[in-house]
Amino acid sequence: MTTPQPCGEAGTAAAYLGGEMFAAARVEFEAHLLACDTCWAEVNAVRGGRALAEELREAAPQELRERLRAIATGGSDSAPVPNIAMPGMRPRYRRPRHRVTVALAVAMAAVVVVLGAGLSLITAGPRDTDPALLAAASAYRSEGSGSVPVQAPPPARVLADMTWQGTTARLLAGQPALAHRYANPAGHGVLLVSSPVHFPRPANAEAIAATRSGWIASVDGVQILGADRDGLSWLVICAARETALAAGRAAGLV
Amino acid sequence: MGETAATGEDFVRAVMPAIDLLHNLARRLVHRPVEAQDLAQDTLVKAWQAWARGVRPDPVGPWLSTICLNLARDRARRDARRPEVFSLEDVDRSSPFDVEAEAIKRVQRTQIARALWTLPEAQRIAVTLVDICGLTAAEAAVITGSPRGTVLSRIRRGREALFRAVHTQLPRGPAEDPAGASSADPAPGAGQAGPRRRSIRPRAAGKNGGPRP
Repeated sequence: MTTPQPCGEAGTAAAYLGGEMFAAARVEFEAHLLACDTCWAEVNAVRGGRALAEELREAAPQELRERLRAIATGGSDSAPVPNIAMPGMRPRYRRPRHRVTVALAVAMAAVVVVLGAGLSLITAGPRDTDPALLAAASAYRSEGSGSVPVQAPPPARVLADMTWQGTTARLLAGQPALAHRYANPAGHGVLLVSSPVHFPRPANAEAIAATRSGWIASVDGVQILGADRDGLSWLVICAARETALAAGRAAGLV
Repeated sequence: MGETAATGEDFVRAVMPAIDLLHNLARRLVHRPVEAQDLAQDTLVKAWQAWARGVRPDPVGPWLSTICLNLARDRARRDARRPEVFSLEDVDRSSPFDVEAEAIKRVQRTQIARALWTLPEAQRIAVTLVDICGLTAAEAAVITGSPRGTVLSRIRRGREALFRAVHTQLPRGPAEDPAGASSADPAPGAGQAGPRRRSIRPRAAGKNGGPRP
């Protein structure tokens, strides 16, 4: 790229870009812009740079929100919280794979305690519907209850038009699972669930064409799409069938 | 006990709207995402300690930003290791669920993030505070302890430098190894006469984007 010739209006360009010009001066400078490569290039670059920087904006991870609550409402003045770094301690974050394994093991132990009293409720429901699917439907409806947040990377940060909100570990009628929640700005969302234990296909399930294991069914008032992939059994749970299918396609499950 | 609980709830209510701002600032003050998480959490702890002592800033965003920036500077002074290359952990890994558009977007964001790190620190911080975190130039001036005019100048020069840095990173295609780049090495294609993109500016009459007479 060749360097444009210096222009005496450089200071004016700065004022223009800073939004610090009265209307008449702005109109006059914009007329100058039409004729001056130098000022045009500068204005173009500064505006372009702003747009590029704005591309880097992202939502804070759910775990930071959870951390804020924990700091202020749950024990900030008691024993040191495990993941605050102290001099001499090992770095608090380890390699992602290890982090998932350790966090999941800890979370499972906690979830067993938390859910002990609730299991009888989870198993109630239509006799021909698997309890794990009923529990999954319940998990979709009741965000946060009966789950433990974990530091696990999501399978994807974006699913269709929804962004990842956080991941929790759950027991679905005794079946261990990770639940990844996604939502779009309108507030619609899905729960993407994975488990090393197979989720059975319900009797009323409809096969999804062109897939080997994919199915979709209405379970306890919500839509559940199921498929097996990469040694895990997956569920996409949401209120609307089309959203479940879109999310399932975005996730590569169907 | 009840008063402490109410104070805690007040803190959460006051700070939660600024949590995205804090995350975005921390993300651009240190190289690695895990370090950014640590920095953001340490900022919250320090902020809570001040809040519990009766500090009640309004607005909360600039206050959190000041704490975060100071912690980052303390950390940089303590930390002898100053990585100049991005490790693979710093690059958003593509997942098997990515569709092509998302993968492209991910690469673009990585390029922009890398280019931001080539700016002088003062410009990088000014652009981060205003363009990424959404603070005003006046707030950025207070946070950085600099005159507003100086901050405006840094923002303008930082944006321009970011634009030029990104547009000299000519992509080599999908096989590009993100771990191979550093601020010390020229970006791929830098210095070469790549395809020139001429910005189309409106002409007074008739022609669009043609050469000047």
